[in-house]
Amino acid sequence: MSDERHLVELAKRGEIESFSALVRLHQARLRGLAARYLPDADDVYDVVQDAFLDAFRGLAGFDETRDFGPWLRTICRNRVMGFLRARATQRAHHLGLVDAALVRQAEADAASGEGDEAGDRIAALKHCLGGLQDAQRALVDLRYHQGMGVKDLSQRFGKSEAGMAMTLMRLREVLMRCVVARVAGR
Amino acid sequence: MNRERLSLLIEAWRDGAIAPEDAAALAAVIDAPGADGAWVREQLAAIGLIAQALDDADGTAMVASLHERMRAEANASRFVRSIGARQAQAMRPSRRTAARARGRRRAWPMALAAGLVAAMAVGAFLLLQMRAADAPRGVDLATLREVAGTVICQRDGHSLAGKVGMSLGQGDRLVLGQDAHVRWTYADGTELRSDDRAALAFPGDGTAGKQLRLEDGLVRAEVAHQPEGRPLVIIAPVARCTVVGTRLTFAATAERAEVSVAQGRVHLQSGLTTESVEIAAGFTATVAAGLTLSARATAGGTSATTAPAPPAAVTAARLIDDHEGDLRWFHESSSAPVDLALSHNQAHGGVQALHLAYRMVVGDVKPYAQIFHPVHLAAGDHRIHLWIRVESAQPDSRWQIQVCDTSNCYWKQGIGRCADFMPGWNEVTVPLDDQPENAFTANGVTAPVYQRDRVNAIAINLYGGDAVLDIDDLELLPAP
Repeated sequence: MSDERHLVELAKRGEIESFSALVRLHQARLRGLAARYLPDADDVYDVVQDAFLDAFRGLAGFDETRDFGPWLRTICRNRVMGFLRARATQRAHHLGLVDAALVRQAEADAASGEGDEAGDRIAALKHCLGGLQDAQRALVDLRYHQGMGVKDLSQRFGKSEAGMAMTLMRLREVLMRCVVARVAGR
Repeated sequence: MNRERLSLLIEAWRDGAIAPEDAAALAAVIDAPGADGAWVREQLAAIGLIAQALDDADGTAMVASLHERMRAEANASRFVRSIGARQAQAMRPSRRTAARARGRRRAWPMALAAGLVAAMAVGAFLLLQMRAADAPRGVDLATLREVAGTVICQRDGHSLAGKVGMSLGQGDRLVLGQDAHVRWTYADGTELRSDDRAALAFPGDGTAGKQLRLEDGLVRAEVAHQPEGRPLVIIAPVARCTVVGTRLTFAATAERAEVSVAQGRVHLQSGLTTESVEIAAGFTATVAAGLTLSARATAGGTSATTAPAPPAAVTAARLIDDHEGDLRWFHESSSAPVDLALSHNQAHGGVQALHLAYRMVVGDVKPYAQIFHPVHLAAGDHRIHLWIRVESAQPDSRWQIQVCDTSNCYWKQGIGRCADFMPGWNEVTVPLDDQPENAFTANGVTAPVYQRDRVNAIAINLYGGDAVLDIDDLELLPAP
């Protein structure tokens, strides 16, 4: 019996520590999956945590002969879509349009299995971030970690907002090229 | 649409600053099957992944937080298993399922009792007691964690001895004997205690939130944050107390109810009049015939929650908090989260200062964090004086000082951008605006805006952006 199956079996008996071990095994992948549709790290955190809780509650119904990972990812996708649907109805109509488009995208990805590898990309991305120059890294951190708006960033760095958006786009592309290369083992 | 334009739209959407027509265009591109659609989707995914790579690196925080939530789930599940609903396993049964099970389980002891001879009546009675003790309750159940002295649980017409581990549900009533003590908890960590001749009941089925009827006696509660619209409600004969998440003590008799709040804020509604009051930390309110309902400083409260009574009049500076002792600031639980602690790293004199770290969540329905410090104003108090040191601040992050009385907190006492402070400690002096010469009149706000004799706290708000700062040596100064 694989380690994971053993952990699942123990978790089904109510051993929280075993389920926590499963969380540690799968959290990066689930965060990567949710982050495809949720750019805000706090939203990802909440959705993934809720997905794990759904799994914990539903463990009794999980068929142990099947793989645990795909089952978890299905739960997580459902949580993501539920989150976006709910948010789309609560926000200004035009912001909800984008959320609704992301729901459709998540549904399409669910059918094709797209996004299942996203956890590996986070690990690669961490390495690629280390390759940025200090100023680039600081900008990425201000925007994507600290949440500073483009307007503030443009003032701080003396650029137009369009120019700042371009700079961020180029940095993303550099990082994504690095990630693709790293995941491909080149 | 070119990629420069699309990139700008993506960033504007992230900031919530996208024009309606641009949002519609961006949504259309996300849906589009072509290269532009794929590119936008990849960009959005990249943003999410970068945020994750920069965030909680190994998921430690999530595992820790989940652990607590799972424990709460497991506690609830254990109860379900204990009532024999084996088919439910880790899942809770629906309320309807539980009710059917209850019916089945009550039937056989009754039949057994009917067949017993009179000499066996006492035994049958005891058996009934045991079965009743195991009978399932509604969904929102509590569990007895500590029992000392005589504690009787009245359930379905039976009187059961209260014991550790006993589940409590709708319709149960606890009666405590002299010197008895009991503690019970809910699955979300909410904990209540009661002692000595108290009588209380659990009237609700949980659908509207936790409910407790305090018929007589005293309960002390530490209430976990309750779901929106489902507060904990404690009902006394002459008052009703609504709690979202806080620490409090509630004492009740048939004629009187008194609530003291140690942390957070509580809404108390009189059952004798139409009066109600919001009670802040360090304050107490009493409902009784002939008393006007209002909050007052808790007499004999702990130093951590109660502002000391001020002198009748002052002519010199009054130190309110130099932060060298216990933490006496409280987070306003209905505002956004903020890290609040005493820090040894920075102090303006002494060895400790208040350390605040606020991280704004874009789109949060609670767009500011508020902390408050108990204080009462004396005649002669004229200005608030404190020291602020900013460690880091986003350009739009702002601070604001408010004065609160028993009804509300009033803004415009002091306001500014965190980023405008100089490095190191900055002196801040804010006039109390109930002084005629200090009255703010901008935007239609005129002084006085609060009742000086009902002031119970000074509040600090942070909003508009992330800010990490230290605060020290809060004082009230006389007129210059």
